[in-house]
Amino acid sequence: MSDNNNIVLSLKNVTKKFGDLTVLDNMSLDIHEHEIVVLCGPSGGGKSTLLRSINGLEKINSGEIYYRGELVTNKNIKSVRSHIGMVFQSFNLFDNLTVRDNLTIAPIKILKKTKAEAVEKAQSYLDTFGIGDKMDHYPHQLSGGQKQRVAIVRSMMMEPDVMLFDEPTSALDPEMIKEVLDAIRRLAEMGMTMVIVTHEIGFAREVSSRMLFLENAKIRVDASTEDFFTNTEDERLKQFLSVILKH
Amino acid sequence: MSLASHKMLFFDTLIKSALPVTLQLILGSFVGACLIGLIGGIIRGMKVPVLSQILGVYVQLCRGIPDMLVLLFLYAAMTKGSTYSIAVLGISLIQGAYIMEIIKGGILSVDKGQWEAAKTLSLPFLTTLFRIVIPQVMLVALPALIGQLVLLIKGTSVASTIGCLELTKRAVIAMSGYSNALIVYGYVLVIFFIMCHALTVVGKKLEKYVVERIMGDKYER
Repeated sequence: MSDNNNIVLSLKNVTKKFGDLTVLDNMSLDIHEHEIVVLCGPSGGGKSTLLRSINGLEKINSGEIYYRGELVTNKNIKSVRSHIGMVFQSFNLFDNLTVRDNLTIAPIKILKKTKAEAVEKAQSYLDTFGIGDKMDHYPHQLSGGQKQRVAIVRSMMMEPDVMLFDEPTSALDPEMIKEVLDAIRRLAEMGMTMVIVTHEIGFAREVSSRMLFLENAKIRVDASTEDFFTNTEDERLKQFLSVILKH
Repeated sequence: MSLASHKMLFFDTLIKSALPVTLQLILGSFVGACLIGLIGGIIRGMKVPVLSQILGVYVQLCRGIPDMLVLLFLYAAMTKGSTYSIAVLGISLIQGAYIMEIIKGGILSVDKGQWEAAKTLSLPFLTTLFRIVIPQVMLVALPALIGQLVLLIKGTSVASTIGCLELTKRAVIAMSGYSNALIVYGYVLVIFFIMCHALTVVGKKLEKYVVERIMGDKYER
């Protein structure tokens, strides 16, 4: 993990404030290739803001973010973003576009794919995630779980280097959660680098290689998944885990 | 009043001479108002600094001044231009302000997640605006836009105040030749009503068509 060559994302002393409220307090973090990092912790701890800062949806107040060793600035944020996929809690599919157009609009426009290439790729991803028959549907014709899988495919269509998941299952019915988690498992098998904010602690334990516990705008615990669940010395984390594992 | 004079009043004076002017006023102001409304509405909806505030003042002015006075003022201020072109300018400015507010409201109603998703996919601003946001704005704003267009049609009669020879003005002039005011104004009233009613009917169909084009034929509001 100390190998610097495979660091995909690096945060150095990042601080983000909303007015007087500090949501990220001087945070530093390296994310390596093929790592699957799960962020957990109580609400308001800064998990989502951290993800949103990485791809520039939130402007940080101070500190630096590097993508593959390159400092992310206002100038290169667009090209950096094209390498970072993001999946939102509320899916954010384009409501007025069919699944086909949702999936192909960016690859055609940005990656200069032909329509046929893009559609073919979209079809193969949809098949992989068990929604191969939804190509001509509009988002309003899909269930939540199907929407989220389409959203994952939409990000994958841009051939991302790393995927960010912001509570991908929090808006879903219990039975739909599994289909989305299965989709993320598939990405894990493909070796995708991922940063995931989730409250699905069982899933986190199974799929992640590293766990972060965020509280009060700081990374309180940063450990391998194994250590995080079994060897933690941190009293606050123990307490958090005992509550979340029991319920 | 003889049948011949009815015919002369209705067909020759109102339908043949005046209606084309009114239709041109409607078309010209429609194009002008939509351009102003769309561009201004986008600027207001996107909260572009400075421009947005300036347009806000413009909207307040248009709301706070009687339409007739706007036209009289423009007529007095402009040294060039026919009464027709001044009327088109005035009505475009007035109606453009209202359409601007409708478009602005529509843009603000689009979930900001749509913009964020487009950003994370690196979609350019204009692609996001025209392929994703504006179609969704149309979905919510179309009924209000059609209502505003009906107001625009009725509103063209204000052009009579600066002497533009549209339906209302023709009727006022024609009054001198006919004794029965009820008949003269009655005809004009019927013509305006038919135009507005037709638009409302067509508008309903258009709405359905647009919704289908935007959201597919299985969409229910």
